[in-house]
Amino acid sequence: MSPRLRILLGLALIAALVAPLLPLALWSVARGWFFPQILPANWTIEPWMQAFAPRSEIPGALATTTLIALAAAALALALGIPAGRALGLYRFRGKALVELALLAPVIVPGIAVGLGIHGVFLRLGLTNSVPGVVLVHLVPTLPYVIFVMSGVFANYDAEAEAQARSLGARPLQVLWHVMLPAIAPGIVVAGLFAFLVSWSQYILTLTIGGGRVVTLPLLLYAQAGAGRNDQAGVLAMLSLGPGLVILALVARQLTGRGMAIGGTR
Amino acid sequence: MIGRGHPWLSLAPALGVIAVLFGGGLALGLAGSFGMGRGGASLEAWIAVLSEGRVWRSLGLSLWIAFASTALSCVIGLGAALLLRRRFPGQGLARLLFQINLTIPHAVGALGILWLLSQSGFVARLSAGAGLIDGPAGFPALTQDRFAIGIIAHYVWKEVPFIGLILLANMQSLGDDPESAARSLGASPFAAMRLVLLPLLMPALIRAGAIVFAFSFGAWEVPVLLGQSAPTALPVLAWQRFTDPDLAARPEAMALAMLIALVSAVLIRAAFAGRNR
Amino acid sequence: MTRLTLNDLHLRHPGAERPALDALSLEVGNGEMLALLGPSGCGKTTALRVVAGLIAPDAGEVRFDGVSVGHLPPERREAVLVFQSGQLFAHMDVAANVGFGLRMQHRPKREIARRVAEGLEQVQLGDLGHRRPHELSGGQRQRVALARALVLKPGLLLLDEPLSSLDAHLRTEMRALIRRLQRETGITTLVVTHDQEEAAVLGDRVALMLGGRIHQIGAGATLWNRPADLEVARFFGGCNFIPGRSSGGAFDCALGRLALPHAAPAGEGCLTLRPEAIETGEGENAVTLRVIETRFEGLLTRITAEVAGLRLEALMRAGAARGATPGQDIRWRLPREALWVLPGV
Repeated sequence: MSPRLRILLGLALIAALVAPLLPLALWSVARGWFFPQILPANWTIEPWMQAFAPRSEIPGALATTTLIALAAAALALALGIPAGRALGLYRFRGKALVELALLAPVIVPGIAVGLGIHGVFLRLGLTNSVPGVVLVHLVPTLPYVIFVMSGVFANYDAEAEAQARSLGARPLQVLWHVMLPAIAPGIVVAGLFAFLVSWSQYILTLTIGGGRVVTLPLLLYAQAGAGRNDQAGVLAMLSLGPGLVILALVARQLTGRGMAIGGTR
Repeated sequence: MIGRGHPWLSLAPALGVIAVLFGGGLALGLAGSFGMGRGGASLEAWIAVLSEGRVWRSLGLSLWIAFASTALSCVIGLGAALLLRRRFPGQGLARLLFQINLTIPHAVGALGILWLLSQSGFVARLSAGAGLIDGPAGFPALTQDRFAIGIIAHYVWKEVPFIGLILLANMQSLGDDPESAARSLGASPFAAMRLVLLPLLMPALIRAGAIVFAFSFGAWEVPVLLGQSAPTALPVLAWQRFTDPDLAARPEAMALAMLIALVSAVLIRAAFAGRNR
Repeated sequence: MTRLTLNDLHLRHPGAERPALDALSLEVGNGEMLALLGPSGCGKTTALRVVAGLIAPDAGEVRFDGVSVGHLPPERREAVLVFQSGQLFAHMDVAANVGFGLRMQHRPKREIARRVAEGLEQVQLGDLGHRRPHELSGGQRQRVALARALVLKPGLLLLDEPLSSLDAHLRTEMRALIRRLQRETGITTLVVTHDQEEAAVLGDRVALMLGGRIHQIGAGATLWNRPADLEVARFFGGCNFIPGRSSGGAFDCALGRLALPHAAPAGEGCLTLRPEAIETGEGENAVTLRVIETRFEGLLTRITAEVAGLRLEALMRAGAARGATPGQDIRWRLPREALWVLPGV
């Protein structure tokens, strides 16, 4: 394939992949943009002003979504780092089964879990609450963290810990001074993954949050459904934020490998 | 910490959470589908669900969406990976931009696809501007249509980078040697790719495909926006029953959710086949 | 400084056929450097790890100055193990690496800085404190690893194959450095190695370990010339084993009556003689043999010769080997001092 053809196809590919973002971006800076206008007749920054005006629901949703994502990521890390270490460093009987169990939530759609667990959460008073949503977000986020961390630990030289102990470090000191610094980049990647997964959640938030916990995706659909396309455009742009940050940070680390699960494990 | 290895202590918290939330959620859903917790176990909900034509139509639609999305994503994803693996001006930038979709939430993407492909959407307006159509009605119905084109378009748009990047990573670790060996034995580039590279990529492709299939089958937020109201995708149907004011519909909603879980369970095998032990 | 005692250690790795440590007993005196020599897989690294406290033995005792330390975790033992790869912490610079142990002891910063500077001077890396491990050469990394252990003034220093990851020309340098440091600091040191030359140069004594147990301890020359058993002899490349009977200061065998340097226990036995000890010419213990094969091995030539069904191998310099032609007879002298009857064979 000639380089020229490659460039062409490459451009076409990228254009197709970026295309859906266009109307979203354009609506966020338009006032009234209707058929058959290809570009908005009126360009304005007003949708953004409105989005952050006192009576707007957007700042609240932004805060809620961020809070939930941070909490879910933190919890997922706390649980997933030790589990990743166990899977990455050790061989033991039943390991395949454990791996299956820990990664199954990636395959099984959230709606199957959400509908089922709703009843218990209702009785525990966790529905319509942020803590309840954070808990249920653990289901999709934890497997990602475990997957990334087990890959990190597979490349980890545990002998360094033995060396540190021989130099007089107690187990907690070994953890803090030797293990954590070595796996820190992996923790960042795993944490960002978990954040993003929680950030993008819809059905689980809707089921457990009952519509009372309003996150960005929920507000997005609500505004679009109510015909407020301009606000929906702003919401869409805001929702892209964390993803772009992650891309910038991670693209360097992962070079061509991308954030792919199941790829080169 | 070091030593012969006692991993279970490290695994216990994560396993516990997954067991309770995930396993428990599924178990409770199953129980709910049998009507438990509302007096007695019965197969009422299941019988009702499995004998309802609408359910089968929804199931059929969801399966169609999943198959078509997965097949297209795999083919186009493979093509994209083959395209991006060789050096050309702008390769680095292309690879970087290729990854953007991975971080875009499905809800955002679905809305974007809607505004792109709907009859009054961006593409329609470009066509009107080019004089190809007269008005919105002249543009083919790509969203909320019988063939779920909009839904499939969304999944393909989102998952091509996913599959493409997995394949790229695999190709990178395989290197050029397998195909080079085939070429030096007389195979054309295409034959080398088809007969040597592809089989080597198959395991990863199948794993990735299984994940895509499961997601496109069971996701809610995409068909609810881009799909018709009847027949509707199975997850949307399940949600409708769940939010039905008639509480008797709850067990049926659970049954539908369990159906969704069942289909994905079948895929778990494929998704994790041949992982390195 | 500490006296180390290993008492009857037993250890079998799970799933292994043979034990890694088989009734291993050893004493390393205060201030001594002992080289633990053995082929790979003989258990010497396992022994080191047991002393360091990283693995627990199935049975047996480890004592520092007569006190059992079996119950102490590695960080509380007075022993520091330096791993073969050096194991420098990649995310810390050299100074932080060297000061690591002191930091774990919660020493004041000023003291740490001072002792780190001294430690680096000791290994001649004084101005490299700010570098990162990946910026150092192999030899420098090894020196940092040493400094990191020495700065703690441990009672016991355990070195696991300290030179095997280095290029040949660096090894001599490092060997000299390790010897000098050990003499200066007087720290009891146990060095594990598979290299005979290294063991002989580094160790005040050499302990040969085979199959999980110690076969012989002594000065390098002693193991070389006076092996305690067949396996020890074979390990050092001994290849001339002559069965016979000793009585009254002489050895009767197929080669005739050979004079021994001193009386051996009377009775059946096995005589051994190092190939490089054989000389050509006449004299005491001279024998005639037929040359079978000569092989050029660089510095020396290996000559295999036979008489009365017995094969002998000799290693000789080019000059001495000149007379040997396959098929011809040759006259060899077996110097009395080089003869050794293996005990208990």
